[in-house]
Amino acid sequence: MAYIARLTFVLAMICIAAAGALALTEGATTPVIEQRIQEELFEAMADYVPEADNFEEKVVNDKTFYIAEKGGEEIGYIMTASAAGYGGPVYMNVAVDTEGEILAVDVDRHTETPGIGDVIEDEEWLAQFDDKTIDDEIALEVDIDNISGSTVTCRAATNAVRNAVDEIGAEFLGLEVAEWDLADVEDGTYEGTGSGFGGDIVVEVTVSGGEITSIEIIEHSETPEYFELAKDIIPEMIIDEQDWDVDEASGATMTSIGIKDAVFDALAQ
Amino acid sequence: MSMAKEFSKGIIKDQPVLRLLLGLCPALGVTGTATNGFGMGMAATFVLLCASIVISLLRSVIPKSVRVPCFIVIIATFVTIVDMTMNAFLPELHDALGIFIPLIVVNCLILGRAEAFFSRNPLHTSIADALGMGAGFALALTILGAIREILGAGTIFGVVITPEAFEPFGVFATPPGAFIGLGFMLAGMNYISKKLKLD
Amino acid sequence: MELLAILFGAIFINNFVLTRFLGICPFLGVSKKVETSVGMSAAVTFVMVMAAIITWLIQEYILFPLDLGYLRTVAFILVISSLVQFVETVMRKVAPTLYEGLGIFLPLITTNCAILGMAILNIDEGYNILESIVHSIGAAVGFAIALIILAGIRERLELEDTHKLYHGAAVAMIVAGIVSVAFQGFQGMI
Repeated sequence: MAYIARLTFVLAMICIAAAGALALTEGATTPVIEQRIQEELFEAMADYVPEADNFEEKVVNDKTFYIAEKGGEEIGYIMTASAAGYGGPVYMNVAVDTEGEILAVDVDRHTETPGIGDVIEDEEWLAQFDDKTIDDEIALEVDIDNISGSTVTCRAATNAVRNAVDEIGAEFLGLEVAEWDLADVEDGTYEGTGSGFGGDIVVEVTVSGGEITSIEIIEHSETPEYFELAKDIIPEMIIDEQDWDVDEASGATMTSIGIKDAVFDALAQ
Repeated sequence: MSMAKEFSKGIIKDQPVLRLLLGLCPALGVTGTATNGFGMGMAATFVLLCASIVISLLRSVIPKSVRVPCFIVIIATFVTIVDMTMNAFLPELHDALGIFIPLIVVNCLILGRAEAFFSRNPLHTSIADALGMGAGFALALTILGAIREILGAGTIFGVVITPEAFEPFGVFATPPGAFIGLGFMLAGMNYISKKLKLD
Repeated sequence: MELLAILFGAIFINNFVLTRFLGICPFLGVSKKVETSVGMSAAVTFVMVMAAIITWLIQEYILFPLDLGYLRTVAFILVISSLVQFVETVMRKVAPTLYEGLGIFLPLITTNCAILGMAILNIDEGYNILESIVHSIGAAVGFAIALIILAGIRERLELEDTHKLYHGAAVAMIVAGIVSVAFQGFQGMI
């Protein structure tokens, strides 16, 4: 009995001492960590908008924007947006001024293949975005150069920038965003384009009586095996749900996104 | 055995990574650059050192039947302290080492030394052993990190050293490169062992 | 769909052994024979899933509400080592035949960083209980696949005339590197 009591006592004392030591360390390090994170964020943002003297956080629908201010006046907007790349989402930081001109674009984080996907971190490549405005297309191989061998990552980065610009435009600059409202679509056949894994996917969408009745893929350059996985199920689901934003086909995510975007492009106005 | 001998055995004869094959997970996982390899080596050395002091001092107090849980708690405590301190003062290294910092707890090297050495030897020899093992571990990781960094990116400790014409072998920056690099290092160590007649 | 992505992600894309470098010690230690590697895989799978459930509950109902996040590593490793001990005792009493097959692998599992790594990743990724379980199954299956593939190759390598400097662990590492190259091909699958 005494032996068991001794075991318990020693183990308990060691655990208490451990918890105490950790509580002390945590108390000492937490403020440092929090302050550092805050400072890093502000430093990064000061890089994008050097004139700003203050940054305000604004959260709308779970999206975090930062408003760059100078003397109390808004001079720019910053946000991080993502798009699907090869190894997962690619996150880009984008700063836009009040006129809709891009001030800075930077890679936030990504999980692309080292040596292949990380070419997007190249400063020259990123510099292409610097003279763009909210009215530009910002699309790969249209006004942004592709880096051959890293197409998927480049497209993801470009789309992420486009997403950020659109979000900022809609939130602060009164940009009209394309809206999805089937009730407003007149009967007829519409063509739309989206980008998949291998390039553009073009679809023809037929609407009658305010409902999507058929979706036909008329052009694509996807890998056949992957295209098979998505080509029927995605249009079927869209027609079923009468909504473009359906679940992606597993194993063919990029192709699915391409088809969905093309349908959206065809009908959104 | 003298203190110097306790220390030096960790570097060649009982080299933890290359001869005892201990702590291979971090050896593969964080050696993308020499800096990360060295940082991991230092973190593990710190934990080894602290654990050797505490375990050696408490060795007569801790009952045999609960020694493993006690060692685990002691080691995990120091690992968490390293984790939090790094996050506060060396954030970049902390991010690069990621999940491998908390995983120092299950590094067989540390628990193995605690069980086989620290709990059976007086304070000064335990410290010498911990420092030697830590140095050996850090050395192996730094060398592997340096090899992978030079071949994979053409830099060492972040400084460009290869001529411009050198096209880095991207594969050495990826997981397969870690396995292959360590494989060559193990073969190299076998060669050294043979030359020094260690076996 | 999300669950499938987690499952296949853990098995192929972020294979615990070949891409994340977790559980290398048993990977090298028991991959000499297909038979032992199957036993090890079964033991790991069993402990992995149980550990995922228990550590998730501890994080959600003890550490998180009490704001004790800094005790996570200590708590998890204690839980895992007690769990292994517990499973060992129960198995010896209840299923002695199973124990004979798996028993020798159980003590090795405490220091298998794949288990603790999986538990920490579950929390870092913010998985719910179901996702955690699926992730742990994927991790275990990925571990098993890597282990059994390597064991198959090593059984044959034993008969080959490898250079004496490369004998054993060195050639196993290089083989693992080549298998890892193959697994790189799964990237972009999801």
